[in-house]
Amino acid sequence: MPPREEEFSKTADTTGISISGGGDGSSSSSSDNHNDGYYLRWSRLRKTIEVQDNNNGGVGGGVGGGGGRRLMRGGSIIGSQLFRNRNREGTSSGTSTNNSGTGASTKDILCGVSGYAAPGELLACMGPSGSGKSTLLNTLSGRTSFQDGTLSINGTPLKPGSSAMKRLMSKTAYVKQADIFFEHLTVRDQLTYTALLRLPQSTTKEQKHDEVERIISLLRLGKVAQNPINMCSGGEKKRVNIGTELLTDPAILLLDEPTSGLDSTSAVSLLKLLSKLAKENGKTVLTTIHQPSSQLFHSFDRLLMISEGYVVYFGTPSASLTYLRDQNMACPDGYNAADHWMNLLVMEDQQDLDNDDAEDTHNNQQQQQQQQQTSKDVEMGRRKDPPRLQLQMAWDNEAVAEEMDATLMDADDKSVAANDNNSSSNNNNNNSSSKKDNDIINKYNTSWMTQYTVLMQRSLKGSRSSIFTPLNMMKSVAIGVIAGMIWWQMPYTEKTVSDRSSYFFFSKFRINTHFSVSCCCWLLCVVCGCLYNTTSDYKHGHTY
Amino acid sequence: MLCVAVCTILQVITNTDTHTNAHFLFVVVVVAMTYWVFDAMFSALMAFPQEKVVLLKERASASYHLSAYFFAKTTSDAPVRLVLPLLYMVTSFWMAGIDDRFSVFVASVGCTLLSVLAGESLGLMIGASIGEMDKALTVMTVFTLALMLMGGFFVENIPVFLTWAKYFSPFKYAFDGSLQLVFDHDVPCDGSGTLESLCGGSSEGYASAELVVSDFLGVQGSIGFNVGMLVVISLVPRYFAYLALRAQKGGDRS
Repeated sequence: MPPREEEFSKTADTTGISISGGGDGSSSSSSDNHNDGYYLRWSRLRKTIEVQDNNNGGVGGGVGGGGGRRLMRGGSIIGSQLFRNRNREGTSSGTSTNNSGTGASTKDILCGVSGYAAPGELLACMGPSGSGKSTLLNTLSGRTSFQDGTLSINGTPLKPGSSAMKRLMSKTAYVKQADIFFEHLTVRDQLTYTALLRLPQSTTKEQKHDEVERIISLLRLGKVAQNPINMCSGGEKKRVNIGTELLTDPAILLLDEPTSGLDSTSAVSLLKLLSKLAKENGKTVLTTIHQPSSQLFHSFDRLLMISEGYVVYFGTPSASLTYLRDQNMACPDGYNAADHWMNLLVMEDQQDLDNDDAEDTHNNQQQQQQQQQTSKDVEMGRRKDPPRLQLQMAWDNEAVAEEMDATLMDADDKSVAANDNNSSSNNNNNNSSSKKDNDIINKYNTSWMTQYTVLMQRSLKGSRSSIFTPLNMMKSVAIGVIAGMIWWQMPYTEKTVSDRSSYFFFSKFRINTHFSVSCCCWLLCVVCGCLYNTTSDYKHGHTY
Repeated sequence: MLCVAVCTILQVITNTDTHTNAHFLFVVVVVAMTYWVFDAMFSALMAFPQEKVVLLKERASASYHLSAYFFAKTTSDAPVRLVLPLLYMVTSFWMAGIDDRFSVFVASVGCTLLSVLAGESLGLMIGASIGEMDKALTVMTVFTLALMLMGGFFVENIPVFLTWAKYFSPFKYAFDGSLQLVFDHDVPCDGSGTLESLCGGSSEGYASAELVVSDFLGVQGSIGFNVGMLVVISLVPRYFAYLALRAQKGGDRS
C-alpha cells in the first residue's frame, strides 16, 4: 500500500531512524552512543485465552457475533486481499463456534501485534478499555506467555522461559496500574528498602542510599520524602511507584496507565518526566495511556493504537493524523486528536444506523446473517463497518512485522560483529554486561541474609507501629490488673484449686454449659466484628 | 469506666459465694487469658491476606526469596506479639498470688507465650491458605470454636468418636502444662468440700498434687509433652503457611 509506505518513511524522517534498515539503524546507534540502549521489538504477537462462553447462539447473538468477528481475523494478516478472504471464512467459523455452544471458546486478546520501542523514545500505547493494552505490556514484560509471534531485544529473539527472556525481565521495569506499597512506610523508607533489596550485593550501603537520594531528586519527591505513603497524593504515589522501579536502573520501562486518576497537570508533568527520562538517560519507555490532552498526544515520540487486539496504527502522532485523513476519517479542526482516535475506535455501528435503518430492526438472532452481509459489503467496497473495524482491516500490520523480522535476521549476523565491536572499543561495557549475566543467573540481586535482615526491619516497622500503641499497652496492663484483683492473693488450699486452674484458662467447673457456649460465641462475634472493621479500614486505606 | 468496673468487681469478690459470681468470673477469665491466644490467632490470620498484594508484586519483580520474607515476617512478628501478653502476665500473676516462686512464674509465662505462638501459627496457616480475608475469618471462627469446645473445657463427656479432636487444641496443652507447674506440691484441705473425693470434707491433711492434677483437673501428659506439643503446633502449621503462600500466583492486573 503506497500511502502507508510513504507514511513510514515520513515516520522515519521525523525520528531520524531508518525503519526499513531497522537492523542497521539500531546496531549503528547502539554502538555509537547508546550502548546500553535496548531495542524492544515484537512482531505478530498473538495471545489467546479460553473464555467461558455461556451464550447460546441465539440469545447472545450480539456478543457472540462480536466474538466471531474477532475470531475471524485471528492469525497474521497478509495483505488486504487475503484478509478479505479470511474474513469470509472466519465468519463461518465464528458462526459454527457460536452454534456449537460447547461452553468454552477461545478469545484472542492480541491478534498479531507488531511494533517496536526504541531507546530514548517514549512510545505511547492507546486504545479503548479491553483492547489488550495491559496484556501487551504483560507480554512484553515477560510476565505472561504468548501463543505466537516473536519478541526480540536488540535483535535477539526471546523464547519464553529462556535465559534471554529472564534477561529481558531483569532489564525491564514494569510499573503497574495499581500503586501497591506498605502505606505506613515513608516515601524514603519505601525506596530505601527496595534499594537494599534489589540493588546488587556488590553495591555498598552508601551507594544504595545515594541512589535513593538521586531517585528522590529525579522524581522531585524531596518534599514528601518523610511523609508516609498514605499521606501522599495520587501523583506522588505514582512517582514513588515509578521510582521504586527505576532504582534498579532498568533499560526498558513499561508503564500501565500511569496517568489514570491524576489531574491533567500532574499527568502532563509525569509524562514530561518520562520523556525526559527516555531522552536523557537513553531509556526505552513504553506507556499505555487514556485520554491524553492534545499537547501530550503530540509529545509522544511514537504511537501504537490498538483496537480489539489489532494494531490500527503505529507511527508518530502527527503522521497518524495524515493517515486518518487518507482513510477519510480526518480529525476535525480544533479537535483533540487523541479523542478523535478514541471516538473512532469505540464507535459502534452508528454509521450503519444512519445509513441503513432497516438493519436496525434486525433482532439478535439475525445478527450473524447481518455480519455476513457486512463482510460482503466490505468486499464490494461499501462501508458498513464501524470505523474501528475499517481501521483494523486497513492497517498493514504485515509491513511492520516484516521489518521487525528483518532486524531479527540481521541481528543474527551482526551479533558477532557487535560483540567484537564492543570488546575492542569498550572493555568496560563488556565487563558490565557479563556481570549482569551473572546477576541474572542468581535471579535475586541480594543474598538471602540481606533480604532477611531488610525484610525483618521493614516488617518490624509495621508491626511496631500497629501493636506498640500506648492504647494497646494500657489495655494489656488494665486487663492484667483486673484479673489480678479478681484472683487477689489466693491462698494455696483446697478451696482455690478451681480458681487457680481457671486463672490459666476458663474453668470447666460450676459453669452452666449452655451459658458458656453462648458466651463464647458472643466473644468470638465481638472479636470478629472488630476484625471486620479493621479489615474494611484496610481496604479503604489502599486505593487500588 | 475503669472505676465503675473495679468497684463492681470488688463487690462481686466480697460476695464470695462462688455460684453468684461464676458467670461474671467466666467472662473475665475468657477475656483475660484466652484473649491473648485469640488475639494472636486473628491478627496472624490477617497478616498474609493484608500483605498479599505487596508480596505478589514484589515477588513478580524478583525482589526476594519467599523464604526470606516468610522468616522475616514470622520472626519479627512473634516477639512483638508476645509483648502484650507478657505485660498482662507480669501484672496479674503476682497480684493474684498464683505462686511465689520466680521459677514457676517464668515457666508458666513461657507456657502461656508458647500457646500464643501456637495460636499465631494456626492463624497464619489459615490466613495464608485461604488468602481472602472474609473467607479466612469465617473459617477461623468455626475452627477456633471447634478447638475450644473439643478441648473439653465445656463438655466433660465428649463423644468417643470426637476424643481425638482435642489433641489438636493448643488450649488443651497450654492448660495442662501450666496447671502441672502450679500444682507441684500437695494441696492442704480446708473442709470446703471442693476436693470431696480427695479430702473427704475434712479440714486436715493434704490432697496429693498428682491426684489433684490428674483426677480432679483431668490433666494429661507430662509438662515436657505438653510443651513439646505446643512447640510442634507453633512450628508445623507455620510450615504449611509457607507452602500455601508459595503456591499462590498473582493475577494479571494486581
